[in-house]
Order: sequence, then C-alpha cells, then structure tokens
Amino acid sequence: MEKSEIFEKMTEICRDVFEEESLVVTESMTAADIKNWDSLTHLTLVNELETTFKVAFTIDEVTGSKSLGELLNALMKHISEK
Amino acid sequence: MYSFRELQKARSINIDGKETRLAVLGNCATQFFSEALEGFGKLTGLNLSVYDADYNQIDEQLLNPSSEVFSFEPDQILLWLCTEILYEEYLDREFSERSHFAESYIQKLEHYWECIKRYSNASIVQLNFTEIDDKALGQYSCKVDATFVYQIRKLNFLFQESASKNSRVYPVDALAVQIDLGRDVYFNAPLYYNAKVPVAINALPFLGRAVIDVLKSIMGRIKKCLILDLDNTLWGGVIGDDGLAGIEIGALGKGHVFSNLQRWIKQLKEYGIILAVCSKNEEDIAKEPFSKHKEMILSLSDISVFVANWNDKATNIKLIQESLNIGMDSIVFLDDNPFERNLIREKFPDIEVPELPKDPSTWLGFLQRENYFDTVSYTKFGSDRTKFYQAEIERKKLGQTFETIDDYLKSLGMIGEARHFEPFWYSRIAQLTQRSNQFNLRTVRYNEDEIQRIAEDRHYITLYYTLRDKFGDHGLVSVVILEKIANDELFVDTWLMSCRVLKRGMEEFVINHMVQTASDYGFETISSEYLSTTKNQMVKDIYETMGFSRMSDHTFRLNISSFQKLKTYIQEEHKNGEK
Repeated sequence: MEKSEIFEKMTEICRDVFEEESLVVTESMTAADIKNWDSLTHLTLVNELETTFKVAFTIDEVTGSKSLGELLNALMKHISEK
Repeated sequence: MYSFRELQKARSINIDGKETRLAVLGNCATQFFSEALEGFGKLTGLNLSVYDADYNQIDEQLLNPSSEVFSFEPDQILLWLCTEILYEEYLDREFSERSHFAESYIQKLEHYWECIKRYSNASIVQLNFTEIDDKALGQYSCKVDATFVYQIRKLNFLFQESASKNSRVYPVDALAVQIDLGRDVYFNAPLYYNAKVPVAINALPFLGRAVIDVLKSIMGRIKKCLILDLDNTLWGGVIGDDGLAGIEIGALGKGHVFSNLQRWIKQLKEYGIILAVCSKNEEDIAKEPFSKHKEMILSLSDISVFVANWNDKATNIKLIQESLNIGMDSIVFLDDNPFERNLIREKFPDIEVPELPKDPSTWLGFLQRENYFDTVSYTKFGSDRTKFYQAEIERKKLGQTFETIDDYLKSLGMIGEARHFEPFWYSRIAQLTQRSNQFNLRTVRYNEDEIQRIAEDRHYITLYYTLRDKFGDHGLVSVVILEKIANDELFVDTWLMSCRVLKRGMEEFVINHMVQTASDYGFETISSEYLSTTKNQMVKDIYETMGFSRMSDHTFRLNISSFQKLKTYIQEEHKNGEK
C-alpha cells in the first residue's frame, strides 16, 4: 500500500474520530492543532488505525507518537513488516 | 456487533420513554466503557443516561451519602472491579495473607453493596471477575490455595454464593465475555498500561451488550416463549417423509446434535420458558415422535401449545400468541427454513427470529451466545406454567359448550383468596412486577428487596390474590400495593394482573376486595392513576369501568361510601379466624 493511500485513509479516520467532517490534516499536526484530540480520542484513533490496517502498535508508539506523521510512520513500519 | 465508534455516536440519539439512570463505578478507567454502555442502551431503545465516576472513586463515592453518584439518583449502580488491578493488590499483600484474598475481597464487595443499600434504592449491577493465570506454579497452581488463579476462581464462586442471597444484586458475566472472545481479544496490554483501561476497545461492545442485556431484563424486556418448528429443527429429516425410524434424533451421528438441542430447550422449559410448536404437518404425524420415539427428549407434556396444520406460519403464530396472551416481543421463533424466518420477521418485527447458521451442529452454541433468555428473577413457580396453559386449553374447550359467558363462568367454580404480602411470596411478587406489561396500571418494577421493604412499611397496604377453579390452581394472579397518602386516602401504587385470568371476574373481585379492605382500615377515598405504555392500553379505562370517577386524562378517584359492589362469579375463600 502506498504512503499516500494510507494517509488518505488515515485522514478519513481522523475526521471520524475527531468529529470534524472537513478537517484538513497534515503530518506535522499534533494535539495542539486539533480541537478534539485529547488523551482519550488519541486512544480511539490508535484503535481505529489498528483495526482498519490490522496492526498492533507498541506501547512506545502509542505514547510516543505526538504528531500524525509519527503515527503514520509507525503504521507504515507495521504494514511493511506484515 | 456494533463497533465502539458506532456506540460512541449513538449516545446522541433521543429515545422517548422512561429514563433509566445508571452510575458506573470502577477500580479502573471506565470512561470508554460508560460511553459504550450509553450508546448500546440507546441502540437497544433504552432511554439510558450514564454517570461515569472518575477513575478509582468507589470508596469516596459509596461511603458518602451525598456523593455525586448518590446525588445522581441512579436506578442502577454498576460496580466493576477489574481483575488486573485485583492481581496487583494480591501481589502487594504479604505472602502469608494471599490464601485469604478471595474471602477478604468478597467482604469488601459486600460492604459496597451495604453502602448502596443504605444510601440509595438503586439496583446493583456487579461484574464478576475475568480470570488471569500468572502460572506462578505452572498448572500446579490449581491445587495451591495461595496462588492467584486459585483465589480469583474462588472469588467468582464466593460472589455467586453471596449474590444468590442478595436480591439487590444483578450479576454481569464478564468472565463469560472474556472466555467467548479469548483473552487476547478481550485485553489489550498497551491500552491497560497507558490508560488503565482493562478491556480492549473492540471488546467493549461485547461487554457493553452483557450489561445492557441485564438492564433490559430489569426493565421487564424478557423472553417468555420459544416457538419451535419440527422437521429439520427439532430433529433431522421430515417426519412425514422419513417416518419414525428415519428421522435423526438420539445418540448416533447427527441425531446427537438434535438431542442436545432438545436437552437445552427442555431446560429452558424447566426454568419457566413456555414452549410451543408451530409446524407444517398433519397433527397426528407431527405428534408421533413425541409420543413414540424412544430417543426424543421433549415430550408432549413439555409443550404448552401444539399447532400443526397447513396454514401459513404467521397465522399460526398469531394463534399461539393470542392463546398465551403474551407480547410478540417476548417470543423467540426457531425455524431452520429461511423462508419461514423471513415471513415471520416481516409480519411480526417484534418477534426474535434467530438467523440460524447452515450447520445444525453449530446452532446450540449460536443460540447460547445470543443470550435470548436473560432474566432477573427465577422462582420455582415458573416450571408449572406449562400445566397452566394446558389447563387453559381445556377451559377454552369447556367454554365452547356454554350458551352464555355467565353460565360458563359459573361452571368453573372459581375461588379467589386475598392476603397481605408474605415472605414466601416476595420473589414471585417481584417477578410479577417485572414481567407484567399488559394488565399493569403503572408498570412500576420492584425487586425482591423493595417488595420486602414495602411489605414491612406501615405506609402501605399490600395485597396479593390467588385464584383456583375446578381445572386447577392459577396461583398468584394479581398484586395490589396501596399507599397511605393521607389519613383518609389511599393511592393505588401498583395494580397488576396476570392476563391468564382476564375477563373472568377477577378484576371485579380485586376491586371489591380492595375497596372493602380500604373501608375496614377506615379510609374514605381511593385515588389511582394509569400510566400509559405501549403495552398496557387494554387497561386505560379500567378504573372508570370499575366505578372510579375520572379526574383527569390519567387520574381517577373513588369515594368508598358510594361504591356499588361489582358482579363477579368468584367466591371469596374464608379462612378460619379471618374475614
């Protein structure tokens, strides 16, 4: 799966989880940039990504990924290792 | 199954009807769980509001009568003590104390229940304990009482024992959910260590469903009847074509599948589920396996209504439903044929129609997982129900031979008896308040505990009524709770009646007796109320019919001195020394 394709899917998931239909996301975005991104929606986002792409993040990836780009990189890594 | 996000989104759905308030307390982070519960409740049609106490606030909330949880005035308080935290508490104890862990923990739980009882009327919804096995002594742990696996299993056992003696407590079998999903699906380690959430997000809908099943039962949404197809459902093959020797039932091969299905169904009957048969067959041929096949588990005496003919099944199911006088939504219909299933779903959307998998050997597991028969009460009276309905059919046959209904009612030789609530009947009375939907004027649900409290409270006059006739004993058929709201005035808090005895003069008998009792106690007025639900329309005018004056759309009043005794053919039982 191409990175752009994954990011597109990830954008959809972010719009759903952060409940903002027209949300435009970039890799550099962090919780500071998105209104509904708190510790709980972070976990929901992680779960949605895991379920959609059938991967499991490590605890370091869950806590350590502060930006969407970091989550994307972790995701890419797991997908490539499958 | 719904996804967690679907449940989260469903929280904003508006549901009409009586609000149910649930407070959630846990030793872990319960916020996701509470969201899942609220969403699942809404999607099930419950007007559910959930209050989520913060992480690990059980002691603070339950020891303080004016805490947020008690101020929320919950109908139910849910307690979730997750095993993961228990395990850490267990390991933090001195080695020598660990073999007492389960016993001391059950005391802690009972203490919480006592606090709830003291400060609130809420029911207690208690999750049991998922098992984790740390293999400290390998599998040998099973026989060493100090090990965690030994203690957690013991704790579940002690919980069952203690809950069985406490009518306020409703168990949620979280352990069964974990067994069903498997530990790896149920538990997500990063989530637990990150956020103290001991259940994987994708497992929350399953745990949520288990809780909602209990809430539905508390609210009286329970199944009462299982309607069964015969050919290729209760046995393999077609009795009309294959004959008695050709159908598959019994110990051999595929017959074993149907035998075990029948064993399970027979057990449901023993716990009070009414069994009915609805089959496209000649009646005598359809009955043949029941009376002649040596390996059949179910017998004709287990079946309350047996309908076998060539009419369409919708017509026959309507017939069964009417003769049992129960709601469509309390029926489960079991049929291997997708055509029949779709027909019934189409005609009666309220009936539960399991979408049986293709392979009959998987049906039993499927039906058990779907958990159709959750309930909140069980009394030994349930199993007699089959006899009631069979006698009922005899009564109907007799009824057809009389010219007028009065002649028929006279011929039944009915004897009614009224008594104040007694401990022996508390559980049955509570069960009736939970199960009666149609002839129920205010549909107030009580648990056994509350019934006891009311029975012992001098502000109430409690009455239950039994009825018998020449065909048999109907048992307890009506319940009345009168509240003293003024020196001279009673209010009918509860009046419910079993629909089995409708239109036989029992309504009149109860009112006559109720008024006489009120008068004996020196009251002058009885006020009453009808609270409308989708199911109790049949009694919306009953107070007026019985001689009460309508004060408003739903309130009524009776001046005792002007009451004219109502006509009934039911004789009152006179006990020695009692009036």
